[in-house]
Amino acid sequence: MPDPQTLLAEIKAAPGIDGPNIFPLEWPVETPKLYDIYDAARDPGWSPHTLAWDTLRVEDYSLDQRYAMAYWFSLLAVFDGSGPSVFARAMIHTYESKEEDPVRKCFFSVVRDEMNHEEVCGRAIKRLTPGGPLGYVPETPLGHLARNNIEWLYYNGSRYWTGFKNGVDKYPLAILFTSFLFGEVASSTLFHGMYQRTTIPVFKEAFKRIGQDEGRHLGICLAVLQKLLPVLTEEDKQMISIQLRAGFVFLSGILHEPPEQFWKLPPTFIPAQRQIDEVARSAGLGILTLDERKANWKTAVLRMKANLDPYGIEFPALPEVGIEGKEVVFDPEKVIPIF
Amino acid sequence: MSRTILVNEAIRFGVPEGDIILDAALSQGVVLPHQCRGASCGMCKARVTQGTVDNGWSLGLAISDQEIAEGFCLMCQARPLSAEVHLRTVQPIPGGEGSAVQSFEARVLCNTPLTPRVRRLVLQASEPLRFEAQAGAYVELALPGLSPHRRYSLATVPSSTGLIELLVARHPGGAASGHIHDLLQPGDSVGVTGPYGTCRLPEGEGTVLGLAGGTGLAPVLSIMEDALAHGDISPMTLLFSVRDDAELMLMDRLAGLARAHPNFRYALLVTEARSRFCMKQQYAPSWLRENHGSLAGARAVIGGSPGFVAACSDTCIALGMESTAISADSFTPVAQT
Ligand code: FES
Repeated sequence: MPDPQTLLAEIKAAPGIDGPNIFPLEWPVETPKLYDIYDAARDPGWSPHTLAWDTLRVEDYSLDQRYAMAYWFSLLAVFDGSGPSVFARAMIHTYESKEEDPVRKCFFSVVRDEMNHEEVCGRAIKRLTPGGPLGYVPETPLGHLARNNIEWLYYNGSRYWTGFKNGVDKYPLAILFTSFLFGEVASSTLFHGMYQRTTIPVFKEAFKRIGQDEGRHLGICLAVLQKLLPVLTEEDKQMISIQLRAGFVFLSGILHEPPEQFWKLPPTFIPAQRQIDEVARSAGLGILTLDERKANWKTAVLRMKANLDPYGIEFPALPEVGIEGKEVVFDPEKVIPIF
Repeated sequence: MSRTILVNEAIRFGVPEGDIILDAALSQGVVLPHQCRGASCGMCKARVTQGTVDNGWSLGLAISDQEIAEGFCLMCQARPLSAEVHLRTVQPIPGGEGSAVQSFEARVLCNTPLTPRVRRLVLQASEPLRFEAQAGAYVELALPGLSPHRRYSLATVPSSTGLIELLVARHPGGAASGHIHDLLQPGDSVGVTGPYGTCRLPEGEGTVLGLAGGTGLAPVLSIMEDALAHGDISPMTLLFSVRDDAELMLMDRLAGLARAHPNFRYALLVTEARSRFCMKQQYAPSWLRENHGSLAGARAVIGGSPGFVAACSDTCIALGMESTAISADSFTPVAQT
């Protein structure tokens, strides 16, 4: 065996690595608090498969009520179901862009939580409409309307995904996190409302648990932003304003009603959704009225604004909910927020 | 410049200028009630009784504008503004002042079979719980037309979710367990009073044995889970004894703990039938003798029927365990009324 000293004389340096790349590996730590949150998230304390699904007796509901509830879970799944892929993609981004280790770990825990949330959507849909979300034949006109709407929702979801994929690598962490924060604000608002309103036990527990997970995600976003917001560049701030507008438009698809700037939908979509909402509400799913949704969404957005104002981030005008602000151009190719 | 915080007139610590109260406390090893750290669970809510704070971020889920106006804050977001701030927490401090007994209505969220004899009952409390750090406690359920109230050990430490999880075995002729098994539906209300009970992890540093017979698993598992969650690194073994394989339950939780904590392991004992899980039929005392030459210095938490608890604790003592190192939760079916 050659002597190490002899070998050393012959070594050749490894070629350089082009970034962004996951290599070389490092484990930097700047925000130890995120390790604490990650630790608390190791065991989320619940599993979708142990919820009391057997208490959801589909025969207790009319066909239309089943279609309507499955529709709502399909709508939720446009956001929640994309969660694992979106955060997994973002997690890879954090490795490639050499973010600190606890940030990467927290992203991982969010991926896992989103898996659970997506599983709840899937289980609900499959129980209410076996073969769903799309592979079943509706037996009523409302069922057909619901299925057609779902096809449109997924078409728009696919456009979102394309935009997200193109956007995620371009943005610094502060922008990603303000976008995600907007998503967490939206989901906390939504699940809180549905938890309070639903009369169906299995969904009550599910919404409560999901809301609790989202609370942890908010904690992660806040911990990161508390570090990043005070040191933003002017360019970052402008970009955040644009992303806030994009986030509002995209998330309004579930928090209120899908606005036109992003959502490409046929004229039947909104009238159909309003009827489906009514029927899902009659089944006890906890769907807030349009006015209640709008009011909640506005409150959440205003609170988000109040929390970003001190950092000199100009909030975009959101005329849909009566909020004045900076006019920003909406670019559908750059939508990155998610639940 | 550091600010001084005094919580519940008992805990004093400093917060560096600009830092969040909860972050500063935790970084100094001061445990305050909290959970999400994201302004959404409300566990860390406290009233500012002296001084002023910057309330920081809030989405209105955990704290309302009115509560802020009344002087409440979320410790996970608030930063002290005055040199000294006094706070009174809404939730008790973990391991602190102890919790007062509470009576409240709870709604049944889930009542599902875990085994042919045992159902998992999950209740949603109608008001915030003050049950922090009460692993091993039990509650009394008031069921319609049944007296006295029936006692069930908590199968998990109730958290800010207000969910109370119980394991209820059907007792032959048991009016309460029969009612729970056959009649109690999701959406029904029951009265709950608690927490009661003194079954806790005995103080000390030695090995911990958890000995659980049937639904005695509830207190034993929740105590061990709680200790592990709080970073206890003592070697822990949970022995779960049932009559046959069909009575095994919560295996995912046991396996999950074993995966997550290298100092935790569990063993299954099947006493009256051939089993896929153990080589031979065996009772807990004989397992103890076979696996432990001496239990001097060890601690035990025992949950199960009175016979199981007595047999296990006698064996532990015979193997050298101090009687003060044993904590037990024994249940006796209540006579029908
Ligand atoms: S820890 Fe959840 S609101 Fe503060």
